Amino acid sequence: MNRTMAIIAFSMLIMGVIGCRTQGTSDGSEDMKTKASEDLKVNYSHDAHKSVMEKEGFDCFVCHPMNVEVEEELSLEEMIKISNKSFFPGKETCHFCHFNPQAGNIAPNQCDICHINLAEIQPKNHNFDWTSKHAVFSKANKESCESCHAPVFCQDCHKRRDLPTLRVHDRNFRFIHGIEARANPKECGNCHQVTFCDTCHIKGGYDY
Amino acid sequence: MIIKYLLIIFMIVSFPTFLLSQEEEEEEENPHVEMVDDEFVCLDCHTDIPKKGQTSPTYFLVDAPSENCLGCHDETQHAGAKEHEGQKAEHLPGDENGNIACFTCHDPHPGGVIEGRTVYDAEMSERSKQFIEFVVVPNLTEELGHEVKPEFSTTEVYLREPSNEICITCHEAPIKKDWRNHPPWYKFTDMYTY
Repeated sequence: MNRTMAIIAFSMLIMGVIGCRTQGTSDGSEDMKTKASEDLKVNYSHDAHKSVMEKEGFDCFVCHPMNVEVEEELSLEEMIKISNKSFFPGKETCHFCHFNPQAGNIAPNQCDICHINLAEIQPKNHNFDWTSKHAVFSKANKESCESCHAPVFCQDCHKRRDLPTLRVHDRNFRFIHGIEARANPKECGNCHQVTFCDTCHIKGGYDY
Repeated sequence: MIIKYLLIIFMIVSFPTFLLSQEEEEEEENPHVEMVDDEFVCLDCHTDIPKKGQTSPTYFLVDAPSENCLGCHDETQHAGAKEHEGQKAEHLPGDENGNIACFTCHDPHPGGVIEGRTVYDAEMSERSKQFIEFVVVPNLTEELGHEVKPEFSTTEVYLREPSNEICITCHEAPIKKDWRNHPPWYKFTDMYTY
């Protein structure tokens, strides 16, 4: 009996430990940072950056600042951690030149230059059937999309009509959309405001 | 009787103040600055005052070269110091194992102490300063949860070479990698077009 109780207690302890560990990393953002840093260690080329940095008037210390300090009294472990974080550039430093939607990029903005496996920086909600689900999320928080995608990325699908590819609606959808709209009006509302219909279907019928 | 008590109270109050003032005076002492005028300050770090042209693998230091500076300075004196620890001092003075020590990059002697030797300030371009102040520091403060401040005072660091050149002395040659030598990721190539 005592042996059974001991086994149960031990199992619960193990499960508890595993549970805590899983909870701690469920977000995955920390893992993602570590992996991206590892990728950079392999891929980063000082040679490729040197001439550009010189031309732009940047010193080595822009990416590897040695002149930042914390005035608080901290333990040696904390200080080493701070030193490490400060000395090796964070994503903001890289993104300032390579992905800067506000000021514009002064360097190539292909994500896969640094992020070898793009699946690692793909948000977790971009999973199955995301193409049809994304509208709700984008309307709820447009800034969230723009933290990775430039506005032109949305327009690339939603505005373009110059390619015979199925992006949003088929070509000639204007002539058959009435049937689909009557069959399921809610479907139109996934992307369009009610006023969108009114822009053409003004009172009295059809005007353009 | 009252005078006696007053004297005792005065001594109790003034003693810590006296101690504090002594500490402040001690903090102000900087052997690196003082050695310009006082050669006996050399003995703070060296066992003997080295003569011109005299050399030693231990630099005649009181402690092991790797630890000599740590009597006064922290091993995390500035960001990046700890990260260089244990790396080979390629073309610059190294410690007893040929590894990087504080004096690999920083000459402990200010200009004028050792004949024919020049030391440099840590100078940065205005653009670099602005980048650190407005991009790096705010992000570090947020990420670390401690208030991080930039330090733009450039003097009294006694670099052996001008700022960027001291890095290049070791880092220039070996860093050549085939940086795009990785398998392409086709799946999302179209998705991440801007």
